[in-house]
Amino acid sequence: MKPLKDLTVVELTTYWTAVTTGRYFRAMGARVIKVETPPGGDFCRYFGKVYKMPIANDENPSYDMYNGGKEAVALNLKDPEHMKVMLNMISKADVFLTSTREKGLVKLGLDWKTLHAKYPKLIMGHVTGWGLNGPKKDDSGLDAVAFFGANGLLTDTLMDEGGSPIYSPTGMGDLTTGTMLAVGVLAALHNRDVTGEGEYVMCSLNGTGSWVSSAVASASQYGYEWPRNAFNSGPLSQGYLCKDGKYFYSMVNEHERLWPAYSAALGLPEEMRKDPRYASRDGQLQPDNRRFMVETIREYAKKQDSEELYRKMLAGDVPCCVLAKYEDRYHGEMLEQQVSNGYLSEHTYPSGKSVYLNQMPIYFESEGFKDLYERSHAVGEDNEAIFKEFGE
Amino acid sequence: MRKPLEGIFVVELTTYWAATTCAKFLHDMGARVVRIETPPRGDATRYYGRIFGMPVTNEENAIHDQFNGGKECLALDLTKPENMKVMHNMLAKADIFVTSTRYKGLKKLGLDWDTLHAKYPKLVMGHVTGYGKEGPLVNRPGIDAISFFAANGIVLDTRTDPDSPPIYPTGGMGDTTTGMALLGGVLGALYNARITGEGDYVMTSLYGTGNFVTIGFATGCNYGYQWPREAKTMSPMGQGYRCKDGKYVYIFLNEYDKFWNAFCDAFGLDDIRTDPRYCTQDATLNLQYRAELVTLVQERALLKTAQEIYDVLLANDVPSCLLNQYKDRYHGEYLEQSLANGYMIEHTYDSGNKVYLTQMPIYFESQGTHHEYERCHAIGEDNEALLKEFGE
Repeated sequence: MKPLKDLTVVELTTYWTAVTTGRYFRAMGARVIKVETPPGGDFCRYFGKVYKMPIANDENPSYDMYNGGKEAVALNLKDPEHMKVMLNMISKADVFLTSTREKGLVKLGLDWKTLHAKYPKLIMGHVTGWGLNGPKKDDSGLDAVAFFGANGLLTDTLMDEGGSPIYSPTGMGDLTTGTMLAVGVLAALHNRDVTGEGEYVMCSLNGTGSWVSSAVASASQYGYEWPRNAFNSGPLSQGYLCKDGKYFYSMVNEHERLWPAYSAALGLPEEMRKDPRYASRDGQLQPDNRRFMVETIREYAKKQDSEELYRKMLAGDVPCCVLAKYEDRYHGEMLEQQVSNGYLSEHTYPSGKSVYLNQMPIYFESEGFKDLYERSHAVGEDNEAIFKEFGE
Repeated sequence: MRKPLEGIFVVELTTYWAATTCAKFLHDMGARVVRIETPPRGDATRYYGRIFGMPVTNEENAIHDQFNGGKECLALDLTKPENMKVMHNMLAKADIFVTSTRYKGLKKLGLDWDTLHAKYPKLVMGHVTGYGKEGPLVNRPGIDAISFFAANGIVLDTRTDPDSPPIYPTGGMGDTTTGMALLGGVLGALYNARITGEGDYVMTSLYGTGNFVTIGFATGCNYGYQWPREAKTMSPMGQGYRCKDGKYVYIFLNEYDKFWNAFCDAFGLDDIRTDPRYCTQDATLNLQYRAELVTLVQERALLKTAQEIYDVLLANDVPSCLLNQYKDRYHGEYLEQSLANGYMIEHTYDSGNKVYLTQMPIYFESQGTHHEYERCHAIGEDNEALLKEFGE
């Protein structure tokens, strides 16, 4: 039995943040009704175009992952008849999710104060760019800016100071914030069942980005300088280019324990492997030693193929991998790993195209591994049924 | 005001920051959380701040405070039967058990799901792993830089210069994100357990969560989209530029032609303002012209400060911002923004150091914006009281 099968969620959302929250609820069994504006509906229906993916009603892989299984109702909320349907749905819902800005909600009469007065048990989950207060609260809230750019994630992640800022994996801020909102809404539901009181829960892109990067960022307050470069980072905690043009990558927190295995796998000269300047934790912290180590490791890494080096390091228990590209999750051992854990499920569209689609990465023992694929509904596909159910 | 999870009792056996974040949020939402550590050193991440030159004492441990503030701390050597008895006495009364111990270790301790579920049928168990439950990678060490970032392509495919080194992923970001996904599942299971009386085992992995939050980008690979992007092939008005003062200005827009003159004003491109190779969006679809223009703008950006350029862009309503570094969240309008929304609180340690600590970024209307510093407890600080409560 799915954990949330008795719940009803109404969402008025676009982009991927509150949309992801809605998708989690759906994947955990809730009934989710998504409200869109006719005729085009959520503009993210068309986002796949940017990456040369189909965006048809019968094949829209990007949209499927965020909106699969949701009932789709197209409502013109300026039309009182349609607003009546909306309110009838909300009156029966446990949760209302939205990414509409506060001003827009007030104009529609769908703001928290109005809804709470009418439906005291309702939980409202809201996503904003920058939170409810402060000098930036009305700024536009794209995840590339509010989650990544504003929190330093596009420049302090560079390893070549002065290089171009990284390309934000846009959507990552949305999905992370959507996960956060799901947590808040679920806690509020728990509380509602104890107290009978509804709740307004809000998460912002900016606040979530700040939280998830707090460990490294807080060090700045004690004078730690970001970004790092190859020579002031741990020599064993960075990537090295190998003979085949791929990168070997490791992250070693316990230098002294893993140096013997690491240096042996690379084939470093015996005297260097034993030299305390490189073998000891304190020795490798000295800038001159670090520089020498990085330069030497660079030279030796180029003598082997990445896969060969990786296997040797792995045998020595070094936390490492060959650096993957986004595409690498769709083939080989990584694909096998994903599919066997239900992170990806294979789906063949009517076009004959077979793709791997991501699923909610939460395993429930009571559910086991399941193919959670559900197609996304077309704009207004469920209008007739919804009007019948909620029209009066 | 009652907190949403008041009355819930959580036992935590964790290290690092993933399952730890899950338990921290449970505490912040009102649950009672008892954290078990192994004496005498306790959790290895108590000492993590040293890497950044931060204090790691019982009185001042800023990173550890953010992940563990307010939890009760019980030091137990679980290989001793009398201590295991205390552990079981707690689990018998707990609603949730959160752990990051590997399967093998749990089995050895008799704290694996099968054993616990048989004894405590209502208990919800939340578990974080590196790579999931099955598959070829399942026994590899799980570290967020590797399992969350590198294995999912984020370390390589976010670069905008193919010759630049792999990025330095934001440390802990994979952990905190995975901890939230786990919490989403745990709360879903808790909700269900209250209705059905049946607990559940909920698990997520660093790898699976990293995979999920990057679907917006990776999915295009199914249809042949090539990553990474390169600065020189990206839109000249859709990327960041490094300026004379080392800061970056970032532009993100689609209406190239409309903003061309403002763009020329800002970057000092008078000499090419009317050059047909660059002055329209259509022209820059020619990749050679595009590369020439990006190179030229990169050079010109270095002649002015970021603020000078940004002022001109802003005056012309060009969608843009200055790219922050991690440290920039701790001063000026970004600090103000964070404090106004309770994303950070100000705290002065006994040393006199004044710092800003990041808090759970979920806003509950019933709680308001909260500013509540809680220090992390010392190893075994609560042993006496807890042994009294759960010893028999």
